[in-house]
Amino acid sequence: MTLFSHSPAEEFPLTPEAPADEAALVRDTLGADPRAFEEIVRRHSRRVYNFLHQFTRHHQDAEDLTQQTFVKAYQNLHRFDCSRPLINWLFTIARRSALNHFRAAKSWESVPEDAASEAPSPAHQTESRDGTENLWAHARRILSPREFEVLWLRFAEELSTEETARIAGLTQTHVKVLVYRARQQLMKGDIPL
Amino acid sequence: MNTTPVRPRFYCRLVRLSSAPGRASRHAEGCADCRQYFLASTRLESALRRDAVRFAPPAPAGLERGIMQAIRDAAPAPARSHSRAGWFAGVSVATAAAVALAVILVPHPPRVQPAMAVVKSPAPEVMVQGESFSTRLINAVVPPAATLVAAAPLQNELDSVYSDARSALGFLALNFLPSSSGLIDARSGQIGAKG
Repeated sequence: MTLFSHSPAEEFPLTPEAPADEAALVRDTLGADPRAFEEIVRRHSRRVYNFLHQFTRHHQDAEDLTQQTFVKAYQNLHRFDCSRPLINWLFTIARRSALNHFRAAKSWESVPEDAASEAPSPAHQTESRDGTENLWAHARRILSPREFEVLWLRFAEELSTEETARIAGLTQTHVKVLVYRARQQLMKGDIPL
Repeated sequence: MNTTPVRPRFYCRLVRLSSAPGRASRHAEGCADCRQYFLASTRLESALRRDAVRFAPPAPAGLERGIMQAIRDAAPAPARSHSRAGWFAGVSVATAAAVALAVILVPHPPRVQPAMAVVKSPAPEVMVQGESFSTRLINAVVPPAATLVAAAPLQNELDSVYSDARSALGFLALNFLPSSSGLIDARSGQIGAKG
């Protein structure tokens, strides 16, 4: 059955390994080669920025948090396990930075579950009818923050269940449940795919 | 797109939740509802991937430059990890230092036959020169040890041992014998000192 030929579990191995040249870049950075970390920034900064922008919805906040993420990564690079992909480690740092950033404002994790699933506004309903709506914008409206986060890591960043669980600090079963619930919610809606 | 008009069976829900490709495909072959669900699910995932790329926000101009500037402003050079070789070298140096210290500080035992040390062997001139050179070298490297040996003759060693034994006896008497007996002077360790 060709329906399952593109299963994420098949596309992305459960125990991913970091590219060899990435490990070399990390070693070069630790060996005081300034260009090596510039290359790391060049490769991953946009993904980290995009990841943070999904949660902050604010360009300046996302940019500041991206800078914080890379500064922390640079300062703690000796703790990085070179056998794992660097981007996963950066996502973990970025996620924690964002949580710390919003802890004072109480605007992300502490958003009530029902607040995120309010009925869409008339403008959004019009957008949806026109078929121009971003599916992620719709997902953000109807899913809880945690469901959205897991769904983003799983399908936008194309990480495996194991990697998603590691970054989000959850068990793999919890990730599967959250993805299942998110799918159910999205498939109930009238979104043109 | 309404794929679940009726509540799916428990096993169907289990299969959908687990997302194990083998089990899902086997089950879907005989379950039209699940086949429809997985088809819709695959389309949803494709749409999510597509929209993540299509609606990605443009990165701000100078993002990378800003990151590098923030690193230069905030961070010292990353700490090097402690390599195994460095750790081994450190331990080796510490061990060597400890051995040298022990050689210097531990008193040498008194010589039983000192006469043997002063007997000169009828060695050739080269050997004598070599011996004197090695003696000078040892004295240069560990002068405290040589000084210690010279300043602590046999009598001093014996006096020290005797003094230590007396102190130990006094300590034992002070702690384990009744103080009213008066038979043992705790300080001097001598029997019948109080008279």
